[in-house]
Amino acid sequence: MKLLRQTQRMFLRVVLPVFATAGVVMYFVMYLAIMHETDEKLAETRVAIEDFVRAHDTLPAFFQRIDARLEARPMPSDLTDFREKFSDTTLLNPLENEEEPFRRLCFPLKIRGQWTQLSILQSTVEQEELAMLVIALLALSFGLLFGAILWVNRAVSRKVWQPFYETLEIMRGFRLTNQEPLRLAPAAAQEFQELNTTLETLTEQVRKDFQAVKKFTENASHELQTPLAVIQNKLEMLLQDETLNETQARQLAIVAQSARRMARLNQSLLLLSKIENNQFSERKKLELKPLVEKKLAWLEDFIAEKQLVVHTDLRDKTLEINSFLAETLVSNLLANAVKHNLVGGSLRILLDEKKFVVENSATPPNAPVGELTVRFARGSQQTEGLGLGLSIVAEICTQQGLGLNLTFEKNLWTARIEFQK
Amino acid sequence: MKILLIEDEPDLAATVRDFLRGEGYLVEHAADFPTADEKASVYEYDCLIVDINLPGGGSGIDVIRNLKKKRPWAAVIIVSARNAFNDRIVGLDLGADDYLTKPFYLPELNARIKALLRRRHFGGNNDIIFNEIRVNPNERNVSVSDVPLDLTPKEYDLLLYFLANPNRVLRREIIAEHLLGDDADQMDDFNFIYSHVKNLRKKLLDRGCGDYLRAVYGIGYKFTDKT
Repeated sequence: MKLLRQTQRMFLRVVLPVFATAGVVMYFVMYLAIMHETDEKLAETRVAIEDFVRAHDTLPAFFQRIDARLEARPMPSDLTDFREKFSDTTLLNPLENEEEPFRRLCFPLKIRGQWTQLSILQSTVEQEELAMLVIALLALSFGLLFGAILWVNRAVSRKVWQPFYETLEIMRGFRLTNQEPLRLAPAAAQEFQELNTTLETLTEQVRKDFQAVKKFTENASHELQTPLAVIQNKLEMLLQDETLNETQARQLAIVAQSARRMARLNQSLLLLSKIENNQFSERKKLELKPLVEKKLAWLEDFIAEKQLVVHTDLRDKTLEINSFLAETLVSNLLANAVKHNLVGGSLRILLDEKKFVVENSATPPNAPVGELTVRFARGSQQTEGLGLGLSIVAEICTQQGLGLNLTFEKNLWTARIEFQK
Repeated sequence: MKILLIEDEPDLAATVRDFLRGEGYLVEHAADFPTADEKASVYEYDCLIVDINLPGGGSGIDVIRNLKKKRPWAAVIIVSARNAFNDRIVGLDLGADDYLTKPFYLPELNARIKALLRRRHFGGNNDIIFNEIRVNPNERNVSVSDVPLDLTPKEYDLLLYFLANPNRVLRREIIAEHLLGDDADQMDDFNFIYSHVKNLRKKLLDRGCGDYLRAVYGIGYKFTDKT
C-alpha cells in the first residue's frame, strides 16, 4: 500500500468518527433547543388561555390554526391528580395531506365549573426543517473541507516525496559492480538529504568492500599462480627420480593431480573475477558455427570414449562478442555436456539466428537447476568437476548480455543461450 | 644452444632454468624489463622465452618489439596468463613464434623449444631420430627402419612429444594437456590417452621397433631405450 493511501486511510479513520459524532451531537443539541423553545411557547400560550378562561369562563375561539391547535375534552372526575404533561405527536396537515410533527401540552382547567383536559398543540415542522437544513449545511461544509484536505494532502505529498522517488529510481539502477560511486540528487528536505547522504555512504562502503573482495580474489589468484607452477614442475621433476618405488611414485602422482586441480581452480577464479571486472570488454564480430565445430572436434576423444550419439544442427550465425569469452562459453557448455553425459547417451547441439542450445542425457542433478550457477555448486558427485563451469557460463552471459536458460527434464539436461535477451 | 629466459618470479625462473640446463641448453636469465631489453638487444640467442608481465617500466611485449626491430629472425616464445588473450595476439603479431600459458609444464616448454629450434634450422637435415625411428617434422611423416609408418594425427603428436622428452616420466595429465591444449582444463578424465598410447605402441612394435613406450606405475608413460 502506498504511503499516501496509508496516511489518508489513517486520517479517515480518525476524522470520520469525529465528524459523525459531532453531527449526531449537534443534531440532538439543536433538537433539544427547539423542544425547549416550543415548550416555552406552549407554556406562554397556556398562561394566555388560563387568563382568557378566568376572564370569560370560556375557551378562546380563534385558536384553531394550521400550526397551533387547541383541544378540549371533558375529564373524568377520578383523574383529579392529572398534571400537566408535554409530549410529541403528529397531526394531519389538511393542506398538504401529510402527517406533521407537533408538540403537545396537556393541562387541566376548570371551565364553567367543569374540569376539562386541554391540549394545546404547536407544530414543530418549521423548526425541524431548519434543524435539518443546518445539519445538511454543516455536513456539506465538513465534506468539502474533508475533500479539500485530502486533495491538498495528496498534492503536497506528491511534491514533497518527489526526491524520495528520484532516489528510489537511482537506487534501482545501482549495482555492486558499478565502477562509479552512487550519486544522488541533492534534496531540499533535510530528511531526504540525510537519507541520500546515508545511502551514498552506505553504498560506497559496500561497493568498496565488494571491489576489495574482488581485487583480493584476483590478487590472491594471481599470487598463487607462481608457487603453484613451481610446485607442479618440481613434482614432475621429483617423479623423474629413478630410485622412487611404486608407492612413492603413486603418492607423488596424487599430489601432482591435486596441484593441477588447484591450479585449474585458481585459473577459474581468476577468470571469473576478470570477467566481473569487465576486463574482456573488447568485442568483434565472430562466426559461431566454426567455433562450435572446432570445440566439438576437440572433444572427439571424449565423445568416442562415452560412445555418445551426437546430433548437430548448426546454421551460420555472426555475433558481436568478445572472442575469448565466446570460446570459453562454448567449450564450457560442450565440455559439460560430454563430461556429465551417460555412456551411450545423446548430445544435441543447435545453433541458429536466435539461440545456441546444448542438450544432453544425464542423471538428475542433485541440486536445484537454478542453484547450479552458484559457485562451487555441483550437479553430481560422480565427477570431480570444479563447480565453477556454470558460474563462468552465467557470468559470461550476464556480461555479454546473453540470456541463459538451464533446464532438466525427462533425463535431458538443456542449456539454452538466447542471443537476444 | 643459448636461451634467454625472461621471467620475474625468481622461484619459477630457477625451476625453468634448472630444467633447461638439464636439457643441455645455455640459459641466461633476466628478471626485469631493463635487463631483459638490454640482453635481448646486445646478445644473440637461439630462443627467447618471454614472460609478458615484467617489472621495471616495460612489458615483455616491449622487449619483443625492440628485439624484432633489430633481429626479425629471433625465435620467441611468449609466456602469458591464461586469459591474457590480447597480449598473446599482440605478441604473435609482433613476430613471436609460439605462446605458452601459465602455469605450464616443463616438458611442454621443452617440446615447444625443440619444435621452434627445428623450424629455425631448416637449412640442414632436421629429422628427429631415435634409434630406428625417424620423424620428418616438415612432412609430418614417420618411418621405422626406413619403412614409412602410418599414424593418426594424435598418435603423431604423441610420438613427437615423447621424442622431445625421452627418458622422462610423463603423467597422463601432462600428455593430455599437450594433446588438447589449454582447453584440457575443461576435462578431468584422460583415459583416452591410454588407447592412443596403446595404438602407437602396437604400431611401433608391429614394425619391429624396440619396446620404448613403457607404462610407469599406472601414472603415466616413459619413452626410453634404457632398460
